[in-house]
Amino acid sequence: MTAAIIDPPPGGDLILQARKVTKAFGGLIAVREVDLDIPRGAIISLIGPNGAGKTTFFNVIAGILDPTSGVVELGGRRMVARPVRAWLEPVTWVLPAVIIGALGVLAYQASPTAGGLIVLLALIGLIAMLLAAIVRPAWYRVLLERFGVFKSARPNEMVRAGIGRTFQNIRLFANMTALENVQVGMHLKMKSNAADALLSTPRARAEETASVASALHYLELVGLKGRGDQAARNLPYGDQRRLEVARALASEPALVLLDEPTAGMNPRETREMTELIGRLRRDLGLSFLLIEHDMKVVMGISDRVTVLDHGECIAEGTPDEVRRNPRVIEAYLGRPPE
Amino acid sequence: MTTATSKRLPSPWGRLRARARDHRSLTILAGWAIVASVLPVIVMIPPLSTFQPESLWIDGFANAGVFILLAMGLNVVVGLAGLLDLGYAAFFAIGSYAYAFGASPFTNLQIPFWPMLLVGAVVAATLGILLGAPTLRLRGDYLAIVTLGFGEIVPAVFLNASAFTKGTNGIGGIYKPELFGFQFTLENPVPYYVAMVGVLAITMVFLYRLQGSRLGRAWMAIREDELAAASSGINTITTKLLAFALGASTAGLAGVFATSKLTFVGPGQFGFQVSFTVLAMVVLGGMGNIWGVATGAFVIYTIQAVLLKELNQFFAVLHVPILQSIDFVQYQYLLYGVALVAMMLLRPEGLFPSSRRRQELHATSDDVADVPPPTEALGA
Repeated sequence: MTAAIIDPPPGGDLILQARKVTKAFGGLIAVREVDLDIPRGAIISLIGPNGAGKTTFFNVIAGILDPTSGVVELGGRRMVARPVRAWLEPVTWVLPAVIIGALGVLAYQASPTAGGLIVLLALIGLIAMLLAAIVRPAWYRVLLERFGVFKSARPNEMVRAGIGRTFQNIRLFANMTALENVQVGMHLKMKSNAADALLSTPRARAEETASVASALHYLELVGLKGRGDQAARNLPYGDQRRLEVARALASEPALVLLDEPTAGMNPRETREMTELIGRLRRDLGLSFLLIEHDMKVVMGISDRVTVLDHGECIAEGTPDEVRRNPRVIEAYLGRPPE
Repeated sequence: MTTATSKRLPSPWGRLRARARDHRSLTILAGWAIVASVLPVIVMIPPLSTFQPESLWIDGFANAGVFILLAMGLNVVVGLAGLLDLGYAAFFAIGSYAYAFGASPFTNLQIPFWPMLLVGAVVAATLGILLGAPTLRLRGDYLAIVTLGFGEIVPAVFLNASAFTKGTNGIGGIYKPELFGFQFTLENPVPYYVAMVGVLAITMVFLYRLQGSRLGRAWMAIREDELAAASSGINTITTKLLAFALGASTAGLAGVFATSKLTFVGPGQFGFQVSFTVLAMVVLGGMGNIWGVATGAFVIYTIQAVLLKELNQFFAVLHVPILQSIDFVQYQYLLYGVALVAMMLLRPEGLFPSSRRRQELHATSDDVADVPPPTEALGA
């Protein structure tokens, strides 16, 4: 059996669609033309031997790496792809400034004051556009789209679009408490800005109180009740993994990317994590993409499994199909003893 | 959980602490009021009163306030957001020149001092963003080197753009502050002292509020792990720029204040040693802890401005052979170096560390039994 074509999901409601994603680091092709569809509410697993390109693929989806080619769409919207007409971007902010500046120099002959003012205006405009290019507010992206320029979403924009993630090597905010870690996850759900904070407005205070309550709720959800006060670095390993999940959930994502969520856990913790993932899907309707080495977990909860080897997708299907796939057995699980 | 602790310990001290936590801004203002009224009394008590007359002490305290402001501002950039900035004096210079341009015979402008405080802060914040923008992709050593470069460039620009800044000569005769017709003078340092305490108290309230807010958490998250912060939805670019801007605006305030007091500004005042001194204050005081940094700055400035001079006189009077001939003021950077090395060996988290940093530097990762104290977050 070769790579099966994914069944059309009910209602065609795909939350994420990756098309022919390729990522090359110089001559090394880490991911080669991988397709992946994640229907809403599904649990999809990505497996493969070490160095198969799973995490690279993950990082492309999360907006951390730009793909060499291919497209990642989120809810039908193109989010990550190779930049298109990126050279045009500097032109959009340099050209107007150059034209205005040139006009200013011409006007200088007639009236030095007016000319100087126009040149100053051009300079201010240039600096403003430069800052806009760095900060990339919404209006700037709209402007770029008008010129047909496309740039991949940044990680924080992917979070805004509904993707939460955890990391293979735990990346908590080690010296912040568990509670603060989850509160950071809520960053985009909170609206108060620096001015609110300075003036300690009722809105900011109410939001802060609500965020503590909500963070405690997430901690309880992943089984870290009463641990909110501890610095993340002082938590036992299994709890750190759980805290990462809580932080990812705090952004209220629609799709959660879990990179080896049960690595280094004992069988009981692994079972708890598996149950948690199942419960989150059932109760909150979340979708999951897992990278996992523990076959019991993968076969137990996945709706579909994609197998990568040397950056290529060698199999795709239900856990049972994949388990019987000879290529998978050969590449990943090894040849069975004669 | 914090409420549980205070229920177990209904001591007056515990209750006072709980109250202080609930009304942090008021506590800070009251704290400054107490400190500001006690300091002038303390310096009238013998060992200190023999050093120098009270008016000189008060004058020194007002000057120390400038460095406290600088240290609290740098603490936002270095201590909270974790961006090592070695060119912080640039923003001090920008604030100073902003006031010189706004209120001196040189430009024929006479904008009052109080709005200029705001203008200086805003101008410095803008330039903080502009100088911060090119450094956004850098971290650690590289960031430090680039900011060091900016710290050299800014005074060099003020030095060489002599048509606008009078170059090496600097701009003199800058106007002094005035409040409701009351003119500040060189002879009487008390108004400066009072104004400085006011500015410091308000700045500190603002900084504590920022630290405990969504933005403060985002800064700390970036300090801890930038990639994880971005993957939690934090826009690391705007957040870092805001750290630069707020740090710079505090330096701008300090610049306006210092210039209005000195009535002169020249490019020589903003060398690397200023950036270095302020950084040493932040490190010695306890990075990340606002009041610790403020205390560190105060202690270091007082040692540098008063104690070293006193040592000179002390040994001159004693006629100790070698020490007598040493000018301790000239050795202040040597002393900083020794103090920093000693600090790094004995107490790397600074004199008054934030609870976070203390754990970071003293606990090993398997120190689970050593349960950390409850957070401030729950008191919110």
